[in-house]
Amino acid sequence: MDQHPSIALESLASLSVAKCLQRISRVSAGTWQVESARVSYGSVRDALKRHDFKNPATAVYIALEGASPFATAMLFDPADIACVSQCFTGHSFPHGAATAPAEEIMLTELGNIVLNALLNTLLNAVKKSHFPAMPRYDEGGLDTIAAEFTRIPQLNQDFRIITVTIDMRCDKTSARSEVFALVPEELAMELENLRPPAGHHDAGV
Amino acid sequence: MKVLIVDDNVMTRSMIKDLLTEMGHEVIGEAGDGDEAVREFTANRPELVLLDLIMPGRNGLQVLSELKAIDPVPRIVMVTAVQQDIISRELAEKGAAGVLHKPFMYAELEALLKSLP
Repeated sequence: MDQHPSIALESLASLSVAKCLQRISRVSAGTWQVESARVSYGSVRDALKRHDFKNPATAVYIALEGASPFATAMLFDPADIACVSQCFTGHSFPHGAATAPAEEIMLTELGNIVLNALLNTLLNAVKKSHFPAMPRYDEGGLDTIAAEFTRIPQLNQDFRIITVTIDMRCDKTSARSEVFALVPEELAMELENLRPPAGHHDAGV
Repeated sequence: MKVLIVDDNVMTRSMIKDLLTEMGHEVIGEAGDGDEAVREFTANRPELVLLDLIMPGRNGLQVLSELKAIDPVPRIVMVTAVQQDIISRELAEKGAAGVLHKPFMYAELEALLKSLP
């Protein structure tokens, strides 16, 4: 996978997710923060590989179809769901063999909030708008989730991939999640041109 | 106030209902999509509607217009994680009395309801 590091995009995405997590920390039982952010270039599959698929993953994603396809996703390890629910709702949902409907509802709402925060920032920065799609929910290994994304023909291309890793803590438990944005190259360049050059960015997170 | 909550996420509806009840409002109906929203709105005539933007079927913008066409008097507040400038302007143009952005705190909901004309 080719690397196209972009400090401007990293900074924009990191700040956007950090602000959202700050709000979530204020209203939820947990402490949420950005652990790292990076930008690369590649396919949906390349993006998903950033998640450690030691277990089949749980994914919440929003795909914006149209002339300029765009997707965001949030991936969780199902083994972390008890901690995620404790951090988000204050109640631990012990994870069984299969995901319970309450877990799916909780993860979908969390994904809706975080993924829209990222979409809001990226679209507002270039004074564009895209009516958001319903967040979708999926579970499985890398192949299953990649196949689900690429059922949308417009996502069968390479993108600028923004990956923001987030950390959540509550009591003595902690968990991580990866947040992705698959940004078309044209939009990525537009976003970069809006920002100060490397070395002058405000990476206040 | 008599309030109708429209949101496809049952967890969000339950959370909003608890907050409104604690504030002394009466939740007279709940709906998970546009069709239910129109039914509940027509049957119960709420004074206030808290309306989600992203829902299955018709979106909140379309439902906002439908409810305003039925009765323009009840105040409709959008509750959403979407904070895109262009969409926010469109919501105001179509008659939304306010927008509450998710995630929100008790005090933010309370302040917004108090500020409604």
